[in-house]
Amino acid sequence: MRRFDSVRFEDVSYRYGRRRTALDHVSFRLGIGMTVLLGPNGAGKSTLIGILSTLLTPGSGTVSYGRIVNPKASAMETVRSSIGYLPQDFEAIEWSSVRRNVEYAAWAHGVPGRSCAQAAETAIRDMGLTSQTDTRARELSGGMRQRLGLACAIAHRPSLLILDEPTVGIDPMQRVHVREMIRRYARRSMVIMSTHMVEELHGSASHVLVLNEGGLVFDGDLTSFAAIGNNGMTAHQTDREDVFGGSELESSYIALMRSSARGQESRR
Amino acid sequence: MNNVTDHRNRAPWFPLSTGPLVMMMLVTACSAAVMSEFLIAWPPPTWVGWQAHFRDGQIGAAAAGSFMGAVIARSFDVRSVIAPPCASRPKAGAVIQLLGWPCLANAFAYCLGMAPLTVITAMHASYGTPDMLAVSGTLVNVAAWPAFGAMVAMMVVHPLSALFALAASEIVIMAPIVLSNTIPGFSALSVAPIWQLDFPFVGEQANPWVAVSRLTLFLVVFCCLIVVVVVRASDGCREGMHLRAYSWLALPAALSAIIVAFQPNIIAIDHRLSAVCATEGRITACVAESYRDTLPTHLGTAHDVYDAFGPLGPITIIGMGLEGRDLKSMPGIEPRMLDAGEVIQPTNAIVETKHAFEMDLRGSLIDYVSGGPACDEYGSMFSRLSAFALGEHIDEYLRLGKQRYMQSQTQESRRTRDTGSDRSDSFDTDADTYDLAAWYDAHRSDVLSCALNEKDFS
Repeated sequence: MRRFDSVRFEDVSYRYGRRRTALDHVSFRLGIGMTVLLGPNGAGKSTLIGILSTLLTPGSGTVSYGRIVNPKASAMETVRSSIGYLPQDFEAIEWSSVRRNVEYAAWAHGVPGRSCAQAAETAIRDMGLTSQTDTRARELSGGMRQRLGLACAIAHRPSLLILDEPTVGIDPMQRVHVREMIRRYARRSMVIMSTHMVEELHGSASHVLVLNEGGLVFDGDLTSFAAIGNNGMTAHQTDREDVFGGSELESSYIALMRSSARGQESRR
Repeated sequence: MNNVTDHRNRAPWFPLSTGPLVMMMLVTACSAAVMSEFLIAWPPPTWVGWQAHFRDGQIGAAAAGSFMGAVIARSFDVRSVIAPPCASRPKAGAVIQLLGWPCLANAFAYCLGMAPLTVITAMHASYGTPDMLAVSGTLVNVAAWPAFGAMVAMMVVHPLSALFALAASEIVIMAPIVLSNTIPGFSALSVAPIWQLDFPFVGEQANPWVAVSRLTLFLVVFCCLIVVVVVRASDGCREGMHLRAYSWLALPAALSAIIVAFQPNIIAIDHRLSAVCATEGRITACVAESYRDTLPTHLGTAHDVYDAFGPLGPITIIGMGLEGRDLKSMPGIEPRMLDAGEVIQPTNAIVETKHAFEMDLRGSLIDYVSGGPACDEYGSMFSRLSAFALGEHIDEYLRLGKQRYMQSQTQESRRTRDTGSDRSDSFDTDADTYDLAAWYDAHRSDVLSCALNEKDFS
């Protein structure tokens, strides 16, 4: 399986119809480690993930997976075999066992038939589901189910793991487990996680992307992201603490959103 | 340990556990068996009847297959985690592989459900052979239901898509049947009546070209359904991409429209279908050739009535398989004008048991010989009641058996003679003192002209 260790978006735009711009000249680079994609609803996160996972073709600009630029036809299959995608509210085969689900996911992503069982076994073990191997998907709890989704997404050992709100709707204990598993996977692969929960950044993100109204308003590491909050605190400390009373990461996020909104208003 | 080794060497061809697949097969097989009515002994099994059951028993198979297909379609949904649209294997292969098993299983289970009727028919059918071409068309149709369910599921993309698919399949299977089997035998779907063509009547036997048309249609529909699912699976069921996928339905839709317009319900009369008649005395009974085994019953029942009560002229009974047919164009029956009173056509000639059939035919005949039709048309209320009462007596007379009835009447006559009463010309409804057949013979013209009145029954 051909692997790649970077993904590059260059000046990528995407429109739904003629009027609505979902992504507006977005450029960034993903490398090994955990990238958290933040943004409010309607910011363009789903579109970005759609393009990244090859489900959508960019309207303009280039997307490079290693040396493959804007993949088509057979190159698309090569790229897809190195992508793992966990949608929010995913569909598993409910009446089938964890093993069957993960085996088929491995096969569908290009793992040769003979190796599927082994690939599934490894993914199930990595996600701590060994004792549930023969349990039907429909009998799993919320957290276990999310682990099943992750096992399916990593069964073929993708270079790029795309996660859409992976910790939504599960209890705090399971959330900690799931985060830990994602963090472990991010040590040797690219992981991008879409979320609107700033707390997801804690102790896991090495890279932060923030989208607002189709534009990329932040692209940098966690320290730089936190620094926005610290700087903002100097300027608007009293005002912010009264209103939000949150962590400095939340402050950074809020500050970014405000400045983005101001920028857009002035452009109009 | 061996199991583990085997498991490891096996490619995951089908991710669904066998439970739902077996459940689908059970539902299909059981419903097919029920719909085949294999326990019903009447009419006698014929290959034409077998084909009709084979074609019309798909309600359960459609529901189970569509449900299963919709469940499988979740694997290709944009939210799928096991085979999302961004998975690397070609979608066509994966779709055919995943839907292929349920399609085959549904067709196999359907055959299994029809097996009892097949065995019974093979044992008892004395005429004709099964039309395997027509049966192949039906089997392709049965096999296509999981693909249909998958298509519906990928169209609606909803958590309850399996239920949507189930409902859609039932509508699709029932609509042509309901629209085609209208009371006069014409199809509401057909343009042929507008053109005043000689068809379509809703018959039961398809000629080879109709069978070929049906087979072709179902194959095209099947392939197009698969293509739609593949296209939808490839584009991730995205909004705005519907048109590209559903344009593949234009071809089968056009084909269906053309074929259904000319051959409604895709059931068409075979222009070569002929009737077979048998005559005994003044009674001629005609049935469709495939129902020739029922001729003795037609004749026997008719004789029971007409031996005792029948009019003198010839009578023709239009029996099984010929409902709604125009005898003038029917090979096997001499083309001649028939008097209105000369033809008896049972109202519901296909019934579930031989006994019920005999009762039905007898009822039609009794209604005729008791003057029912004449009284309905011209008679007063009292005349109609008289005809009805007479009909009841005739029925009772035949039901109890002439012999027993005559014996009881003879004893009653003796008693009457001893008491010296004389009621030679009236009909006593409480204790018939005369031989009913003899009484009828004397009053036949009154009965048939509806001239009976209260006095005759006082």
